[in-house]
Amino acid sequence: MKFITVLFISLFLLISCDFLEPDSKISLLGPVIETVNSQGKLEYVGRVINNSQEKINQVSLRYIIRDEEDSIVEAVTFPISGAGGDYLSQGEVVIFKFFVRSDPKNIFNKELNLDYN
Amino acid sequence: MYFLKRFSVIVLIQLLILSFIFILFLFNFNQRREINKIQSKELASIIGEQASNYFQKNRNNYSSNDFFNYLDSQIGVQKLTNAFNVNPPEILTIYFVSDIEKGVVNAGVDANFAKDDTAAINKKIKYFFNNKYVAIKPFFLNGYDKPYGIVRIETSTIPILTDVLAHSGIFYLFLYLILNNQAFLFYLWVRKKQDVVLEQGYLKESSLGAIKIMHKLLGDVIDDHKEVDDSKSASNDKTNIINLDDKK
Repeated sequence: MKFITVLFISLFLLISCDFLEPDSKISLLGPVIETVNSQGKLEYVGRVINNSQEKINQVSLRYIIRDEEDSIVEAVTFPISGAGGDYLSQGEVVIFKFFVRSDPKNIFNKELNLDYN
Repeated sequence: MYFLKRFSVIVLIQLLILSFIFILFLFNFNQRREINKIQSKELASIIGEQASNYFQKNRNNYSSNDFFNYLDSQIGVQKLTNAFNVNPPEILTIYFVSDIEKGVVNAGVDANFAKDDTAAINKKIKYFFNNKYVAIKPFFLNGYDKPYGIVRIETSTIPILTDVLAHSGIFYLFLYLILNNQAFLFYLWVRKKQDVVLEQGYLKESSLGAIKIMHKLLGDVIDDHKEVDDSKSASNDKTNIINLDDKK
């Protein structure tokens, strides 16, 4: 009985730990370049790649900006469209560029998240 | 009181084992974090070199998209982050010194354009530790004493934490079980070594008192039964006498 309990806990932990490994069907290809544009706003340029063997629909990039108190100041979500439409085909790379409206001095933490269906 | 004492000893041993495993985890995590710091600094130096070359040629005619393509053609965007295993830097920042001096951006640098460790922008305290590492490297243009800009790379240490747990979680679990087993064996070993000292007595006063009371009670019960036995034997003696007159 004890052996089964230990085995069960071990398997549970093994599965739980496996969930910590990130799933990366869609990912950023290299880092996103952040610069200050001519209007004094932060501008971002980057690339998104479809790493999977299938077509990925409705890919979107969410950019969250936080202030010193870790409160959300601005959140930008925009779709990433491939050459064929609202999807990224296998191995497709898409270049994106956007800027944020918030004052760069108040930006302390930034988060980039990629979502897809 | 006896059970409370035992329970507190068990809790203490468990805490000792868990703190040992936690120290081991911290050691693994810090080792990985140090590697990440070195990688971030090296990457910032490489980007700084490339930025110097790019802005030397395109000082008045540049764009972030063009700079990205330049980096890709020189070192390749894939190669940029290949060295980072689990936590590649998501954002690579280029700030010009002119923007920093005007106060347009908060770059987290001191007066010499080196990293200011006390700046709030260079820290992110979550889960009781700083989970952001920032590498800053100034880059120069030929003929200028002052830097033209800085390269800032931010990496999160949370993916390192989850990776250490994902790869060593089972090891920590088995270590916990083995250490518990060892603690139990140690307890058995210590228990066996305790010898009873007969000269000094081996019973508590209360136990001795109880035994004395039991002894007295047993003595009384035996005495009571002795009287019954005596009376029985006396009656038996009476019945053994044969009255010859009755037979007649």
